[in-house]
Amino acid sequence: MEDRICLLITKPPHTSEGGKRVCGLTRRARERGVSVAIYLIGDGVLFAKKNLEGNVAITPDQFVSIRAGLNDLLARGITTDKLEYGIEAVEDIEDLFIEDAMEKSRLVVTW
Amino acid sequence: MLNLVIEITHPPYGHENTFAGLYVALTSLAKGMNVTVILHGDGIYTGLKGHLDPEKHINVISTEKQIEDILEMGGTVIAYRDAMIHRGVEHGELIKGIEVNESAELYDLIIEKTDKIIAF
Amino acid sequence: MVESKKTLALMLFAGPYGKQDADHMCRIAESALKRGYGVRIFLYGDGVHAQMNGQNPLSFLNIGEYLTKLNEMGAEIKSCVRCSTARGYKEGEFDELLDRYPSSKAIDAVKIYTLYSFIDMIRECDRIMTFGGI
Repeated sequence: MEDRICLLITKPPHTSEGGKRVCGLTRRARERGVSVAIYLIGDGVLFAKKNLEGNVAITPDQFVSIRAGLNDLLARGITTDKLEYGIEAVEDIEDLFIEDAMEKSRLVVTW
Repeated sequence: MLNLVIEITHPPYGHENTFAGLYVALTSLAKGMNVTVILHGDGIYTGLKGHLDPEKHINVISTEKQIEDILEMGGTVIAYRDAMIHRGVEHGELIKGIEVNESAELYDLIIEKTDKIIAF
Repeated sequence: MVESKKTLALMLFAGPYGKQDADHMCRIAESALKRGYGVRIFLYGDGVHAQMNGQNPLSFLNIGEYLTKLNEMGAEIKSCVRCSTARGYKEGEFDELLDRYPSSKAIDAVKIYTLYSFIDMIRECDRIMTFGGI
């Protein structure tokens, strides 16, 4: 079974150095062959906006998936054309997250 | 044994978070868990030693004493080096017994050796 | 539905309306309950204000009502006695029959309890998530 952890992010990138931590943890996991699934809800969806400075930005690839809550994005005026490449906007984010956290990932980090 | 990580992201007294997180750490140790406290972001300030009677001066419980108790009970306390550098905090200024970790060590701890993680 | 019932523990450290965290936590809890998972919630720090009776927000989701609904769906909800005492909720010593510290100011869905109940949740749950700590 795939070695996988997931992250639930509810705060914007520069709160409590969260962005650096989220990116650092994700990059390190990727180096070690651990998959990371990132879920952005509430103010966490601000991570999904394109043109974020490099040290707090992550690009999805074969090891990293990023999903953002569509309703939270739209409420903040971030339409899908303003999303970083590869980030998926989804309507049922809580359900997808719970499925991942309980069945696919061995560790959940909330920030 | 369950490996629990508790992240402290606030300075010692301006928020209840720090006291509350360290209190969970102490209680979890008393209940037989393997506890690691990570000082991250502004949580680095919680690691500074030499608090002078915070009980008397500002009517709060000393978080320095809480950290000393955690170490004494066999808990581990780790400060994140990058966050120390941002704040001009040196290892010698930290409470005796606090370890300093680079990013890689810290993230490996979370990725490889942690069962559950909670943040304050 | 899930066959083996895994349990999710959720900690709320923020009050009901100052931050969106209570709202996030309730939505996550509801999704987990609908999928058949066990849900255990602990209100800690200002999170205990989510247990206040008679909440009536004009333009936000009513967190008190949401917690009651989650409890009816099967969620166990406890709050920290130390934090509840500091904020004026506790009105007497532990009541064995009620299985909680009594409070007329708290909704029935939430039981005021010692911190040990949170430590038990941490130990016994399959996954834990924290809201409002940052």
